[in-house]
Amino acid sequence: MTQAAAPTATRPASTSPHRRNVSSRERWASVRTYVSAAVIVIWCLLPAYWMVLTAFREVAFTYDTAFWPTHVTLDNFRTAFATDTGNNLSLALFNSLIIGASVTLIALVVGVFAAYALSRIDFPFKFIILGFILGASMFPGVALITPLFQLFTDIGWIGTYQALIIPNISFVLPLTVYTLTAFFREMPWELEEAARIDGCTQGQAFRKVIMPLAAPAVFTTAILAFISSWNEFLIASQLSNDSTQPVTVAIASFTGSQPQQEPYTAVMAAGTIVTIPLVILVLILQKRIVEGLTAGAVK
Amino acid sequence: MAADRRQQRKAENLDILIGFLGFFAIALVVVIIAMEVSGQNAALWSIILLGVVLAIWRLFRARQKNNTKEARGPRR
Repeated sequence: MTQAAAPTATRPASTSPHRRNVSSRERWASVRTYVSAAVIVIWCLLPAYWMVLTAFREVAFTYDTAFWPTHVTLDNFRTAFATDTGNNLSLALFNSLIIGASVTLIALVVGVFAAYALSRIDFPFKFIILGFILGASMFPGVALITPLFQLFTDIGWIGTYQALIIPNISFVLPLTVYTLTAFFREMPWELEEAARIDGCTQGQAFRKVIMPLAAPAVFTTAILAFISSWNEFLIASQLSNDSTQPVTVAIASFTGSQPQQEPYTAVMAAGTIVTIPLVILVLILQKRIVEGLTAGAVK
Repeated sequence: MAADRRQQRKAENLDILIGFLGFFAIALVVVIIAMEVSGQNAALWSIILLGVVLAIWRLFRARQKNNTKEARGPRR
């Protein structure tokens, strides 16, 4: 009968001074990471928190510096939507939605094809065109207001939706093309070639193979385009009128109940309402956004 | 293979830079023409345009050199 061999005398790893140093260093590293993350989150969310806090505060306590909800009321939201004071937020929200959706849709349709051509089709100077697009995206919007105003006045477009959508597309399109080009360039050519060998035309390969794979990047770009269009103020403040103004312009022109009174609480309430669609959009498409942002990062 | 890829990337980056500067060169030409036509002093803008054109020319030279290297293939 054989006896089981006695366990070899090994010193437990946790008691080793070297191990103890490593584990303490790791613990400190993770504490540092969490503290840094907390600081960044607080830094980013504090203005939003203050906005929500002020939105629920009575007008008389607008400048209250308490960090928690005090004198809570819903009157500010009523004021934001009240049409008798001229604060027509519901119409402005509808306008923003129309402008944002149109800009995103058109920019995506054009951007997807442009990005596909720039990344997949060989033609001379294609990267020079890409550089041109990058340059166009950095052109200051303020420089375009006067010529656009002149042009749209001449053709009678001031205060129309197209006057707000077309300039916005020119701002969003470079971002769309650049982001999608980078994504398409990282996609393996072999997938498309395999589809072509299986009998697909180039269009079918694009529609049935490339587009489903590019969905995360397209969703990410769509959200970035929508946010950019939703937050646009400069062009809209000059080219819109009362019936077509988006939320950014409507909030800026809010009036208080007294002359010379800046309605901060109503503005904060409107700001809170305006932020909600973006938060919902990002929460719904969160998974897609993360996939899109990390796509092509690891091969 | 990696060297080829690096050369190709370099060529692409040079092209993007040329296009980027090219856009601003065209914008500057338009600004200078507008200023000259309206009788304003365009000397400063012309000097800036000269700088941009020189930068584009340098980048074109670098691009040509890179293309020649690429055509010659990797060094053994």
